[in-house]
Amino acid sequence: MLAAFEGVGKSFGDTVALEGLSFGVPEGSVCGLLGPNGSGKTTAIRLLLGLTRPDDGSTSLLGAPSGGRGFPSAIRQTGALVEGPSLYSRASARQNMRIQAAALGLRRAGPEIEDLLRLVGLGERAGTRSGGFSMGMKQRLGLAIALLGRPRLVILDEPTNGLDPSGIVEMRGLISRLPERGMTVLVSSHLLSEVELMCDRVTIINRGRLVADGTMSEVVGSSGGQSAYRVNVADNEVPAAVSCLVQLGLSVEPKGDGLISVSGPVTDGSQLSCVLAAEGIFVSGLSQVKPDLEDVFLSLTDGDQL
Amino acid sequence: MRAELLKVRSMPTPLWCLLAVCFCALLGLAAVWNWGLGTDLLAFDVAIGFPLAIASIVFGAWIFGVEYGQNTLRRTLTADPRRLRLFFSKFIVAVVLVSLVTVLIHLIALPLYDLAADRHGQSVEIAEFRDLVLSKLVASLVYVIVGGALVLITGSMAGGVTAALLFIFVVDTVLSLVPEIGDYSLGVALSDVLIAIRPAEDMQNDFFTEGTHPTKEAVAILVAWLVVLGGLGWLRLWRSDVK
Repeated sequence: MLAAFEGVGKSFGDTVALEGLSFGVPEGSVCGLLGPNGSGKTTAIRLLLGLTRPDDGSTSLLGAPSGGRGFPSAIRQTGALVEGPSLYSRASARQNMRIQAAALGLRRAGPEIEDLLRLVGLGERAGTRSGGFSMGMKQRLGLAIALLGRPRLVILDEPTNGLDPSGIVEMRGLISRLPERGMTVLVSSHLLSEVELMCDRVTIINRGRLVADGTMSEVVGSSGGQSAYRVNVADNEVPAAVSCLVQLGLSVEPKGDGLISVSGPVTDGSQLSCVLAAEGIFVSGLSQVKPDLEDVFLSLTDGDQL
Repeated sequence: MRAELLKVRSMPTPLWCLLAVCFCALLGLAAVWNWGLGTDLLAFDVAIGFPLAIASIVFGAWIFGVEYGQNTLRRTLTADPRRLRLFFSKFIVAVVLVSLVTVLIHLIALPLYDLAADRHGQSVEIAEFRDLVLSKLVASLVYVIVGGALVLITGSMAGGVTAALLFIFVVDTVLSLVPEIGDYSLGVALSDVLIAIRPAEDMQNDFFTEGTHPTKEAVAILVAWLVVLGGLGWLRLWRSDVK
């Protein structure tokens, strides 16, 4: 695991931010960290980066315990963009990059700086003061700074905040391509669709506690294990179809216009079609409704707001 | 340390501090041209020494507080989490740059002021000038450390600059007026050290008086103040969670 939490607890006064949090980020993955507002995502990231100390448990980065001897070396191999871009507003984009390269102890970082500025689309604006940048440009510069020194792990906290739709698409593309550069990514986002598109793993926390962790298919598939289908029959055959499906122990809900929503232990959609056909009811439409990350998230977090 | 030097080069506050000191030194040159050096090299004291003191406070506050002002502390600590290293990098850069500027600006001003004073039949005594530069160097270093320490203690650049100016010009001055305790104020100790460098008996102006403490005691009090203020600043940086 490139990043790991082991029973981490953290409180701010009477407010419990995290409680017994344990999860890891495997090498080579793009891991999404999801949770409603105030669930503890940013606190978890700050603990991982050593910006704050846990009350209980421990965190480790690239195998080095936070605050331990190997931690400075581990953190130099980790790029981070936490709570928005952190820029010297009176310095240019290039100067911001140079300062970070010096802080990382990188020598002759000039070509890498220019390469990263081009990668995030700021090659033409390298000499412009970052204080004059739009939020989207600042976020992209923040990402370029996080990628300096070819880190093994990149931690991004809400990287799409403040971006317009095209900026979000662009940022998503940039993040999705990071594993090609040999980087592992931990990204927190409040945009479920973004996480679903970008990440191969997802960790969901709610009120400081872990509620789901695994690959995207594992987490999405863990939403009760029942399949849902939409069945279309003729309007006048709806009562008979409902009665037939209920007898099979399925949960059935007529939706109007001949549409029936069916959920329960159905292994295959054709099973429904056969049963109804045997009763003389012919199906004019049948589709499986797959649960998405939003369904899973809402069911695990009791509908708490993102 | 390279990162701190790059910050100094990239951002305007250090440049503004330097320009302000240079501007005041030029005003001083004009004054010397018109009215001469004044007693005890007063022109250097007023036109260079005082602006340097203010600039040192501001620069000290800036170099330690730039991460608070720009909200970049988390970025800095995610490049290198060693807070002690960050503290000393800033300390060393602040001390070296303030020392360099203090000495260089005096050395540049020396021939110019001497030339201007020549119109009034005056000249700069090298021994006297050497003592003056040494005393200004000590004062600048004290002020840069106080400025930096108060920024760290307050955890805010604007708050720190305000606190440092208030501390030096108001709180410490008031403290120095308190019977007995006042003798141990930072200002009294600094003044004693400066008097040891530029003895009052060598001065023509009545403004310069005998010191309160023997030199070694004054140095010890001064160092104690700096260690306490710097230590409190360090503790705040070390202990606090980074937002």
